[in-house]
Amino acid sequence: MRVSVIVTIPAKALVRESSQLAFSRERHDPIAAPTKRGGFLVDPAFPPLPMAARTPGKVRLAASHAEKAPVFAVRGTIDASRIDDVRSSGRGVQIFADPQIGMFKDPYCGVEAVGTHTDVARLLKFDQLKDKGLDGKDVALAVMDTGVNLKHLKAQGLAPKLDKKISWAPSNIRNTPGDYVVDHGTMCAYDALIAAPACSLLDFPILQSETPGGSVMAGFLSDALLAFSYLHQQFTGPDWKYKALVINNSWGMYHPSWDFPPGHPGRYADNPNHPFNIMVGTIARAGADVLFAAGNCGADCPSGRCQGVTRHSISGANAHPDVLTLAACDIDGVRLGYSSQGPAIPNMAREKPDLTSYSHFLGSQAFGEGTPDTGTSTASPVAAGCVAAIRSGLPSGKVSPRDLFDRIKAEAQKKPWPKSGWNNDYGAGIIDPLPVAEHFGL
Amino acid sequence: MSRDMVLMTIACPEGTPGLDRAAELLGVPAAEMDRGFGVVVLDPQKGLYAVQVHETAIRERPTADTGGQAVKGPFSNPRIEPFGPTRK
Repeated sequence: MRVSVIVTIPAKALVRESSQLAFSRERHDPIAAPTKRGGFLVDPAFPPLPMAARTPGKVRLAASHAEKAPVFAVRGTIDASRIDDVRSSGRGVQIFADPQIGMFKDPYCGVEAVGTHTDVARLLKFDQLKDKGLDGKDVALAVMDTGVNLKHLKAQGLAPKLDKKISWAPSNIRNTPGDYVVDHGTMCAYDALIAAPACSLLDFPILQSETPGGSVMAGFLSDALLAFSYLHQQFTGPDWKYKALVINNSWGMYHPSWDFPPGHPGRYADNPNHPFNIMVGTIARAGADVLFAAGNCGADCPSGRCQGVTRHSISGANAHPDVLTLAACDIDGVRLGYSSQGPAIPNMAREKPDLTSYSHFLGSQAFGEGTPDTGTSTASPVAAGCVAAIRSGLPSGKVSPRDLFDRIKAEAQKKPWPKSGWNNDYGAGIIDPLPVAEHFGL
Repeated sequence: MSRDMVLMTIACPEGTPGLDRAAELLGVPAAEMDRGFGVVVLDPQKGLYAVQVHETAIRERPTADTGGQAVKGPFSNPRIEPFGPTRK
């Protein structure tokens, strides 16, 4: 495959003359023959550009014109496998990448849905995963949320499975798995089932523990701690029957004022030794795949509950090194402006979010007909469904959560530019489960 | 969970402690422990556990009997909320 590159070459009479003519508007014959080494073919539309020096420290303005420049940059193409031929040719030739660049679309901050769950299934290549038998079968997917409503999911055309034997609820609410009021938890369950329709849901309504009549669905971190502890016991106990456990967490702490002040040894946000953060590490080491939403405090259109705090807003377990932290984009790959950006709060894993997944599409309609599933709350269970789908062919005993997450990040579609590595908007890129499955021979 | 409870951790290498043993390690009367919360296993390899205790009992512990490195806390127990829409 030929790739575009930029090559710097020492000044020679022919190159100097070509450069001068190109900018003088006089007719000139560009260099168009391939080089002997590497078969580098110069782009005739790109004139040799005078460079004042090879390094910034040696730049002299007097040498920045074609008459005196010591080095020229030219553009061309070369076979990717022969780049080293040019590099080893010596004689002052250097070769550099010429990456594709494009307009960055503004993050989406609209209210309307962008696409539907069908688009998301298509983007996740659900049909191909299903053909491989990767649909979440024999995988448990815990929804740590406001509770799930099975009737609503069935009314939307799904055939959800729920394991009522493995469930837990805070002491002040009735434990009725699958029969909670249609709300955020039902939305999350729906979104997880897009990629893993055959998984077994586990219902953990931890965000209902506040006094009835409170202004929002909420809970306390200690409820999550108890729920994780219960789940850990089940997961490591003799009666565990599933191939894997995936835990979705579309929740977090919106504002630092909810926590102990900075510097307090008992603080949650940036303290790996907080009991809940220890618990998350324990269950991940036991083999559970733990996913967290990044949060909705992105700088472009943060949730009002962020109270204007958009820097280092990924904190606590959402920034835990053992979890997969999800940012959100629409079905066109455009970042959703509310999706929290990295880096995470100091003292936790810096490079968060890890990955981006789809949100803001018409899906569960848990909040009324035509109302989209939004927030990083949606992105996280969409990704959790992908993990569950892969796990139906790759039990947790075979590949650890860390190794699976590393591969998921490696196979992500690079965004916003075609370059590997982490960035603070998308993490490693947009989730793409099929190449992950193929990597593991599924 | 009552809001006047505080979250603490205790190290107990000999195995999962009962509430009475946890209270002993904390240096508080057993009646001050949150029985509904119980003793939560945090890290079985390190023998680390979480409990909840009445805040006043922790505050009024004799300073000479605070458990040293075996006891840590109180830890924050912040409110948590969904990162998406809700009906309320």
